[in-house]
Amino acid sequence: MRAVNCRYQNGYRVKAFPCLQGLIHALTKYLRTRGVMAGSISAAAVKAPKSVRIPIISIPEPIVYNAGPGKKKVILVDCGLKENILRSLLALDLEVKRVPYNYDFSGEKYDGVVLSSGPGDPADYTETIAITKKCSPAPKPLLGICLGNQIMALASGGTTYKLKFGHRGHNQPCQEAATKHCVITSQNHGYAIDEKTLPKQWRVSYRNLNDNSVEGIEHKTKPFFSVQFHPEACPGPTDSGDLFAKSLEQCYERYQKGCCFGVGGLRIGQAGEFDYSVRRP
Amino acid sequence: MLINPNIATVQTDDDMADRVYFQPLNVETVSKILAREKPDAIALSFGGQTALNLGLELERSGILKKLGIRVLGTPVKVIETTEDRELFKQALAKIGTKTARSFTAGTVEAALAAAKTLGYPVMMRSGFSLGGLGSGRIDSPSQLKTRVKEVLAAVTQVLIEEYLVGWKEVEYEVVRDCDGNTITVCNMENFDPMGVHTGESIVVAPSQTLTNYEYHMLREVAIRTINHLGIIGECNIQYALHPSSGEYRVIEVNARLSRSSALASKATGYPLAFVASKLMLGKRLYEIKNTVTGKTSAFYEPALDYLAVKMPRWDLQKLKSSDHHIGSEMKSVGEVMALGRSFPEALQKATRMLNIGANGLSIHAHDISNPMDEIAHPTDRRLFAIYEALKQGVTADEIHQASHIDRWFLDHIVAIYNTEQQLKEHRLDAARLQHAKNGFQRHCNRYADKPDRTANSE
Repeated sequence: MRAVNCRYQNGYRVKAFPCLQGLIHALTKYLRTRGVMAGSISAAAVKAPKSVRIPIISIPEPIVYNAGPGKKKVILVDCGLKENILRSLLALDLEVKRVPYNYDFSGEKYDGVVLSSGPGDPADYTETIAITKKCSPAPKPLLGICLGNQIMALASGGTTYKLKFGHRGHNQPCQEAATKHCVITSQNHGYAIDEKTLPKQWRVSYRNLNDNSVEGIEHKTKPFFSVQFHPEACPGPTDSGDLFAKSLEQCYERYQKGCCFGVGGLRIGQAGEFDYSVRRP
Repeated sequence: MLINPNIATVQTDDDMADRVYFQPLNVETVSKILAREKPDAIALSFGGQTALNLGLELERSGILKKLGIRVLGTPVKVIETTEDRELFKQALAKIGTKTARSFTAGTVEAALAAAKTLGYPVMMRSGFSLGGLGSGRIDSPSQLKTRVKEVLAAVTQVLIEEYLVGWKEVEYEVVRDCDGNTITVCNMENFDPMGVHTGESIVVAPSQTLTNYEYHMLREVAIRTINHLGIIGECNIQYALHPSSGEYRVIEVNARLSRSSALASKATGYPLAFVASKLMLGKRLYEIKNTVTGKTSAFYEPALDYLAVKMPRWDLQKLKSSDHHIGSEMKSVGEVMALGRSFPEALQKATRMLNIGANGLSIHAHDISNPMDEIAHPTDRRLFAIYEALKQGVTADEIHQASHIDRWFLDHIVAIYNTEQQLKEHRLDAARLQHAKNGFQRHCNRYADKPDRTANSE
């Protein structure tokens, strides 16, 4: 691989900037047998760090969206939220209170909680895990997406581990455990839930067809449901968008209470992601 | 056991079936063979349009019922829905999928009335046909009269359809198992917009000019449609897509392996025929092994970091009086496929592989005196006409207006042209050689100081 100065043209603004050529293929070939590892791109030879701690990304103060009388109120825990999760909730005309990752909402009035996606090792989110634990006696709908899925597992007493190969891309095949129905999903995660550590009251709802890892869990009696993939992905397949909403509906129908937050359609403008989970060696 | 009168195909090779009948594929002959062999089941989707039509006739004749023969894969009723234009339209309307506004007609009068409602020009298609036989653009009532008479001599119905001029033509290869698990293995985009048959078009896999919204909207419609129809195995769904509004129309669904499937299979490495045959036997997608990895299942959608260009080959010059114009009827006799890391690379490779004496877009044996005419009224050498037009100083915009070919494709041909000019004007050094070898269009443009003919198209 080598560095070159690139100029984008043909419809792009012409701007010179450095870029690397031949990098992706060289790296792919190297990593596909060895698994993920920490690395660095540098002009001089430097030793790559063993592990990198990813800072938690959140907001400093709660923000309320779409407030209004009579609207169902959802707490959205921001651990480095994908904007489309917020947009999908707002599309359902819910009042959304977006709160920092360490904000204790357990004393407040709400109809449901959504644990967002986010970067890094899920075990680092000790405060979020503690708050989730606190609100789990209440039979209020609790939905986790991506990192939220792992936080749900950790709050219930399970553990997570780092995958040899993270799941990245919008063509990840998954299977619903109960129906055997398969969907193509969009995923971007480097950690997974350890199935063996899941408490008895929980079951696996989705599995990845490539490596059989856990892609979703649900509580056997309470309306707690989470998935590792991104049903709201954009860009990405829409297979699970519908399915997800349906599963949630079932989840809430059982309780005749709370609200249903499904996932809306796709919207243009969601940026792609990268591996931000390089920590556990 | 296999019935196929074609001795020049691998399908009839010694080791492909226990017994091969080189017999004509018509109801009389095949009924006799079935009565003698008493098979448990028959497969219809590996014999192109001929086998589908034959299957429909066999079902109607009652022989399958009499002998207790099961049809594997897609049920005959579903095949009928995909082949009968009116049933197809009704089925898709039920799930809110859009098809082209059209009317079926069994008589000349009905056809004329339909065309009057839609307004000329209209598209005429015939049902139950292969290779767009008997179809084409109709500009006037008198033309319609003659053509409908001709076609109705062979088939029972024609379809008069809105003419979607300039719309993109896109297709998806879809695989579905008996439980309804569905994937789209690959999508393909035609270089030549609507009006030119897919078999006559240069085709790119995967699509290159669709937005995320368009790609996934069409993918979702494909899955919804195929699930609704209840196809089991492999099929292909074709769309017309408006280039700017994102509106679409489903053109047709082919419930069989086709030439497009062969292209999709080769372009992606997904063994479509193998998987389709397993699905027919009742296997689920997640139960079939992914033959590429050996570990995972066949329920996956391949991702490509290269692209495939399919180019048709015509032999029209062998027939002196033949019309060189191409359209909705198939005239090509074969095709080649080229893989490349960029569109120009694959395009140039495909051109060379055609074996028609062209060594790329710039070196060819055609004498094209009026390229713009061949661009506006496509002929078998339109691609070369585009290059000649660029040489004469015509802009990509003008070519786009005349042909409706997407600017993305044209800009890449412009890049090939620019590269040729630079190679002519400058000494060939290592950098220029590598640029040219890299398919002409790496975004790393070393000639940025030279004004580019397309640079202002932001």
